[in-house]
Amino acid sequence: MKQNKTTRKILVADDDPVIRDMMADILDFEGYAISVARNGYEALQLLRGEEDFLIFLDIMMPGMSGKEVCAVLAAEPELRKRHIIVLMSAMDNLAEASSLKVDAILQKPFLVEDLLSLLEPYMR
Amino acid sequence: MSTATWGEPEPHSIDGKHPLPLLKRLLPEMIRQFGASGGCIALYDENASKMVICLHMRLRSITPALTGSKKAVEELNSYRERITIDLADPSSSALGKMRRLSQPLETDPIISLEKSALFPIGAAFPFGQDLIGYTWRKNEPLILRHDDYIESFQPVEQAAFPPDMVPSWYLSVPILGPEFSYETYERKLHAKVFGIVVLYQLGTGVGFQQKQRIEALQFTERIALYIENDRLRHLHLRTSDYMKRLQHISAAFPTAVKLSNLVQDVYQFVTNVVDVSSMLLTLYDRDTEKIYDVFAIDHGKRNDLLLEQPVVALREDRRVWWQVTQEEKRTLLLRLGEQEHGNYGRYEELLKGTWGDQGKAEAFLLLPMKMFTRVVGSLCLTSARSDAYTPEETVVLETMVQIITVSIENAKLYDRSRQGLLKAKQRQESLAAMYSALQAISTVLNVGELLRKFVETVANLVQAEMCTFFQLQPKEAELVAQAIYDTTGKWKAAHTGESKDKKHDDLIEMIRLPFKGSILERLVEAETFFYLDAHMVEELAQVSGEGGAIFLRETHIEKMLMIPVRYQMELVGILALHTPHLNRTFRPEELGALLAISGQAASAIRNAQLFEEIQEAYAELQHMDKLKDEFIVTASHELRTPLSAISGYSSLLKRQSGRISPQQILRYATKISSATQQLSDLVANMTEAAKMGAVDKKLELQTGPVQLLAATEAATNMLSINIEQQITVQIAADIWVNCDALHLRQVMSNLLDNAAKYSPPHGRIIVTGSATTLSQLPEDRVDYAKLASDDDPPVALVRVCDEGEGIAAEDQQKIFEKFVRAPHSLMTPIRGSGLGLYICRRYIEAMGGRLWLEQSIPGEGSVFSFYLPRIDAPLEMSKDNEAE
Repeated sequence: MKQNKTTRKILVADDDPVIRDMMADILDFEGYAISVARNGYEALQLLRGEEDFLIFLDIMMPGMSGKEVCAVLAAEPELRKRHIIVLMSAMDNLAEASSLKVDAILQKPFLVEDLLSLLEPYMR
Repeated sequence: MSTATWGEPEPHSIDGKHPLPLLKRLLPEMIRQFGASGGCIALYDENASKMVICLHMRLRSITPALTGSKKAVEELNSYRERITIDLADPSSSALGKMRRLSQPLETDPIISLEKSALFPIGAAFPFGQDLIGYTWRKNEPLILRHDDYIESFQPVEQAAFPPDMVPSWYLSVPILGPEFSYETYERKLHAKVFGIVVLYQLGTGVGFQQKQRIEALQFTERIALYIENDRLRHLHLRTSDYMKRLQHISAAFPTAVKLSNLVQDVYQFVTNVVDVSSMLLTLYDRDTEKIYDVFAIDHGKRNDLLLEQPVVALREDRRVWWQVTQEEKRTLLLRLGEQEHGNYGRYEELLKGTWGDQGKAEAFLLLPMKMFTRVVGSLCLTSARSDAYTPEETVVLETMVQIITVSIENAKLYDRSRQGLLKAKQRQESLAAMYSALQAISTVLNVGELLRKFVETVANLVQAEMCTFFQLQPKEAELVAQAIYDTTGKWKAAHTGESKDKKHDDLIEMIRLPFKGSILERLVEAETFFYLDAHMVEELAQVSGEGGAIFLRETHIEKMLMIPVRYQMELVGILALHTPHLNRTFRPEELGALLAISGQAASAIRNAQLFEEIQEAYAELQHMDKLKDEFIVTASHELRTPLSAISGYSSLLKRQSGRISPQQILRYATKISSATQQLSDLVANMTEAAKMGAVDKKLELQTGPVQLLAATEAATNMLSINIEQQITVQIAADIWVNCDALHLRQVMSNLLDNAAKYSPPHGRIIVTGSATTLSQLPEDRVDYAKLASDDDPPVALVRVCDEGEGIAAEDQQKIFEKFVRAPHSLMTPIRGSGLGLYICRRYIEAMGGRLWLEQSIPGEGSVFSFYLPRIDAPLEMSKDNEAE
């Protein structure tokens, strides 16, 4: 298992357990420290904690959506600055996704290679 | 002459038949010429066929009683005046000579005697009787002494001869008509002798000379010429007067005749021509076949009631009148005075009635009003004088009647054509109204609105108080009211308390009449329209449902017009019209309009129905299209998850193949296989939904006995691998249902999957199953068609309860539609294709059950229920099952 390249942790926020588990499994194998959230609330709670995150934020989730999380972060610049946001969106939400101030967008479905290469610059 | 008091008869311009003034001039001349003391003239009276004395004159000197009387002086003066003016005419030279001859004797004037014992005025002598009758027979002048006169004729008046007035000689001369006259052969016999002049001498005169016989004859010939001349002049005057009157009366008829004016003119005319005591004008109307007495005067008194309200009679009531006017068609003159009393019995009907009792009249004249060969009425007259209606006047009256007949007929024709025009105009207007109504109907594409307009238009067109349109249901079992136009409020009254329109509409649809096999089906097949009478209505009410029976019984139907509305050959519905207040039948022209408008309405209704179907289909298509778009979005999202999982894990396996433990490989492979299963389920569901396609496509089922518990457990086992919730199954093992096992399992797993999807992790899902019968189920969930056909069949009720987020009230029906998921799920994607409930419901219904959302409370959870036909456990099957 690889060592953490940075102190930054990875947070996967997705309501779909299959996707959530899969991403966790993959990133864990790549040597990243992983946290998971099932919706926007859980994600925000973690983001407000001590650690800095690179968050894979699903745009559509029950309860609080990724979009709503983005709105909260936009209102709190201090909080926003600490984290790197990668918005996960399906093709049909891409237009909406690109209107949000995020660091990167990962289009679903994705290949593992794309996921990792997107991740690399931020985690080096 | 006339005894009339009604109207204003004009004064007569033609005097009596006797040219008295003329004779009064001629007789004195003759008396003087022949040296007589006096003389008289008797003229032939046609009616009496006798010679009647009309003038008696003598020398005043031998009339002591009158000497110095004022009247005599006047008479003398007038005589002188006239003689100076009239007889000085130089053209009449013979007369002039005589005047000169007689002038010396003028000192003893000759006067006219009004009363005289000798030859009194008015005395009548039949042919051959007395001196006058004898001279008439002999037809030649006669001179005789008084003694011979007494001896020959033994006059009755002999005793009355005053002693100083007994004539000594008589000269009796006939006045012979000129050879060139006269009209009829019959008249020639007697009328050859116009009259008789008798001159006499008093005292011991020289007597008359024999030669004077010839002179006398010459003189009377002159008198005859004068009389004839005068007669001709009068005839001419009278004819021209009649002509004037006829002209007047024909001019009196403008195109629009007013009956009251007409009869006034007629009456005036008639009274001016003949003597009338009573008059009756009767008209016969061919169209109504009725006889009308329109005007009557009974002895000068008018029957005023007639003008307001004519007396109406039928042909049977006036047999004699009918016989005379319609069959004999001739003028009828009755001289009642000449008949034996009661001999006019055959004509009694004509003499009595509206104009009182005319039995005492002397003469009766009936003039038929002929129009070509038709007789359109009659004018009846009576008079107290038996000679009132002479042939000449009758001809004039006939002419007059002809004129008024033509006028009346013209007026009638005019009136008729005017009415025809009016009718045509009305018809045109009603056609225009009908056309615009049809236009209004034809342009309406909303069936409900169209039918409302239709019944309203139709009701207004024929003034129906109630108009209802019944539409035939697809299976022809029933006719359902779709629109009702009710001016009486009876239908509303039958359902008091329901005032809202929507409620009203619902109530209208409750009016259902049985069709197939009912009296209506038979009548519709046989007739283009028909009436339902009270008996038929009751018959129909007995086989109708509640709404239909109320309609039939409460809206007071005695004659309800039913018009089948057909589009081409196909029955669309029935238009029912009735008039609860009037109970009238409809007129032929109304029926024509109704049939025409119904025919048009049928195609309008069909058009609107087609349009609505197209609209519905289009809306459905649009809806489907929208749903399909959503489906594609959802489905691609749904497909993406398992695809991502498969792709991710296989990539992971590939990348880290060297470092992965066998346990991990198993875990990842399981994930891949689960995702593949999910993918395959999704594809299966999509295929299934696509297969169902159109709503009415039949599903292929393989039904058989299925143990409910086993099917439920199979579904639970399949699902619980993937879900975090706990599923509790509470179903007795002995409940068996008749259904397709595969589909039941699909339904169960779908419901459980849904429950899991919308429930929080570790929430509880409870599945219960119970054996019951259909009637025990909630009322609104029961399939009534099934309940009716089967006697409360046993069913198995399954309930799936979750603790999920619940479904918003507005979405509770929609969730069973194809592709629809609880709408927020698009924002909050949850696994599932959105086809689940739709497919479930289709399956359950195809298997003879029902599926519904029993309850859903947001935040607390939902309960989905379904039932299926329950059967007893098959013996072998239960054994096999136990063995497994």
